[in-house]
Amino acid sequence: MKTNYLPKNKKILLYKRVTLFLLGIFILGTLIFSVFDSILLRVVSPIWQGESWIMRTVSKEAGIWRGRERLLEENFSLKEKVQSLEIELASLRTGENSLALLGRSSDEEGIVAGVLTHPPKSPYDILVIDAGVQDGVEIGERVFLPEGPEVGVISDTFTRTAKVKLFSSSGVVTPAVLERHAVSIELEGLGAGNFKIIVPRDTEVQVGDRVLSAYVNSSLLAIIEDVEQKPTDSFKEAIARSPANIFSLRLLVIKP
Amino acid sequence: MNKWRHLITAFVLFSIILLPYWIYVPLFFAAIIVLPVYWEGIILGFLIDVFYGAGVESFPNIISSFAFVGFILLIIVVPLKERIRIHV
Repeated sequence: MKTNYLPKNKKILLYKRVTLFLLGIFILGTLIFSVFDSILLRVVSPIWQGESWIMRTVSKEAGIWRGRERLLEENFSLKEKVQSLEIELASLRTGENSLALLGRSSDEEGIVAGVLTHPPKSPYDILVIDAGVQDGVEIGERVFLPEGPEVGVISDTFTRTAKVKLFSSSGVVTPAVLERHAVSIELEGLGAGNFKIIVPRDTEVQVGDRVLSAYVNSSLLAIIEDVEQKPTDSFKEAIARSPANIFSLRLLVIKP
Repeated sequence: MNKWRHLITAFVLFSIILLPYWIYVPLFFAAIIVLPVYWEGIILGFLIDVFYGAGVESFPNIISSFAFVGFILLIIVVPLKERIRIHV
């Protein structure tokens, strides 16, 4: 009797071979990419720098010829400036007083770095900046906006670049303080510059309340955007938003 | 077919470097599903992780990486494509 199993067995054998081949590529890739990630980032960084330079030049040149769009651009840049001033104003009233009480100063200057990639290019709330080990950047250092608010920490360093994990990265939990009544809370990242906060229902939270970092020299982390509470729940949930527009970040300051 | 394969790989690579994620992520998955045994998808997944993710140094990072998702998707899709025949 002739067997009918052969073609099926052949298919299974082929599938096993393909799976092994893919597994081999995956393991090899893990080894190669964990070693050469720094080199890859160094290769791509000039492209990102060139891209942002081209985008700036093109929009500037095009603006000269198109009056309406020039006005729109000017409007956009003014809005950006207003937003920047608002952030600066919002972060002014933070931990300087507590530092003075403790007799400490906060005159750390920090390292200024340009942002190479930010969302929506990155699917995560992770930024690549153009300062690295060579410039004195170290893992765990705090990252601020030039206006003052803290946005994240250095998660990975390379020779000339580094990665910044934003506090708003999905799943990242940051200890913080709700400025109203100084309540300690946990700020949970939701992605795209958003956070979730869960507090007992008796805790007073209002839209516009500021959330500060838990350090002595606290800085602004987020601003409450929405508060939800069901009558049956013993907790209430608040959605907060980072004061920074993570989709248009240009410069950051890294402080130890 | 190989020419198309290389062109698609080049385009996905270009979009990973220069375009927003909502363009390259669907392209990445579409290429894995449509092209036969698209092993290049694993490499492209690693590139997304190295450029924009937390890297591939630790086990939790690997598990949540695009490369791993691509690898699993390939393993699922390869036998499925054998069973599904689409005649136009």
